[in-house]
Amino acid sequence: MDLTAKIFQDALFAAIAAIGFAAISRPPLRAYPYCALIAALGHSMRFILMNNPAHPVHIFGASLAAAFFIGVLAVFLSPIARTPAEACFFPSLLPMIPGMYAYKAFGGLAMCVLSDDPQVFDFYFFQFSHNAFVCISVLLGMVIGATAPVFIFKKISFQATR
Amino acid sequence: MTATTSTTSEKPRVAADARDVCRFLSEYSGWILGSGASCIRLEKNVRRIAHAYGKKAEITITPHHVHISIVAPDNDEAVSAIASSVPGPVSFNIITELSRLSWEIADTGLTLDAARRRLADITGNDKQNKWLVLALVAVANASFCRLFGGDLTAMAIVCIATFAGYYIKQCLLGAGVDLRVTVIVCAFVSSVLGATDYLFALGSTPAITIGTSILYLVPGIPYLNSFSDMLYRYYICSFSRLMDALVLTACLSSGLCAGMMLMNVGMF
Amino acid sequence: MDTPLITWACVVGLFLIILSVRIIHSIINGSILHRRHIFELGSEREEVFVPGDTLKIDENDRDDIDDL
Repeated sequence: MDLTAKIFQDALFAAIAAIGFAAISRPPLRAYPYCALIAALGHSMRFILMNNPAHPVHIFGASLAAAFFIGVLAVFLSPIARTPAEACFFPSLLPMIPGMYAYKAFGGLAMCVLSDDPQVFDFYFFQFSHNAFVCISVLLGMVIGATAPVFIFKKISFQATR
Repeated sequence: MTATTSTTSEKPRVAADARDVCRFLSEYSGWILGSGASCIRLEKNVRRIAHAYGKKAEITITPHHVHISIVAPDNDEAVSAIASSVPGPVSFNIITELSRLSWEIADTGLTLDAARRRLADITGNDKQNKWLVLALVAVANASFCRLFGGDLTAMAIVCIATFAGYYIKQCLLGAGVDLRVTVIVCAFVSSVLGATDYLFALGSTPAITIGTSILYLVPGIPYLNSFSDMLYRYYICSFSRLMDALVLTACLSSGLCAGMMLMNVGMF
Repeated sequence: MDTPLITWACVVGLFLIILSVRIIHSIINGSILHRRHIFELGSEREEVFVPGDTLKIDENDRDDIDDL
């Protein structure tokens, strides 16, 4: 499959994932299409940044950039959807949450506790700390990226529900 | 509408007793905090409403309570109240409607009685079809599996595993079981079902199947809220929300570990 | 012996039982057959209630258990 097809596939499945995960946190009905659109654009942007053959970007940088893009879109689309900006961008960020890193970190921690051999311990400690650091930094990057546009366009974002 | 707003900044159009404003705002903030709003949203909305009624609001937000003091500048009357956050699921619908209510009060000068009725309406009408949510979550996790590179078999298995896990989550939470216990049980059920791929050698991506089958349990909104509060320097709330999210992730991992151990799947 | 298979079968079996029981329960709930409590602890008031009695609970009308 060529890269363009993969990007479209990524966008489509990210949109479906965003709608489903958004349903858990009950956004207003009219916000669903916007969440799906924003998530599709944001996630495919991260996919392009991470998987382009020329300059693959690390997951942290890619998530930061994609989250900033999501934040900007949310700030400008939320007055149209008549919802606060976070009701649009939090659900859209959900498909990008590094969930696998989070539970792999805890898995590594559990294995650390169970292991007696120093080498095995080192391996699992590396797994625990690496996954935890990546998870926390990606989350922080995502929130900074998505919140920055709210600061930059303060007037629009806090009056969206007016 | 712009012209009327400018008048609210000097003189309130609706006269209201400080005690009533305080009582309304404590109920309001209990609901908006319980629905998972970030602290900055809560503070802005509460100050906006207090300002519309010609009062000054001072707020302390702790993880499960909000302490509000309302001061009337004209007669130095001061009232204080502490509200508990209303326990319930995250609901952006309630947050959105309550934000709109705050603007309505500021812009159109809604009376306190009308505002109280609106608050009751908003909080009473937040119903969701649980079968629809169940179906949406199952499909969403299946497409999430695809994003991680799973094949069609993996998607189908993840869909079923998520359906089963989320259904049990709804049942257990409905029966009043503790959220942490619920997450452990659901992670266990979903991971055992997710290991079907390993057990019967059905598809070509069994590792992705079991890894993504439990991702619907990751507490995404608490993580995001926690870091958002941190950016706005509400460190106590931020830490509390982060701990909540970490505890839930630990529960999810222990359920997964138990499932993987019993299914003889390589640990991580 | 074959732990994975047994675990898998148990989880699938239990889930199917829970699902079917709840579905059947919700169907029965709507019908006349619905009887939720077979045994129940009733108060003295309920035992000796005659249609026409006042529905308001009188402060002086107490069960013996209240004095304990």
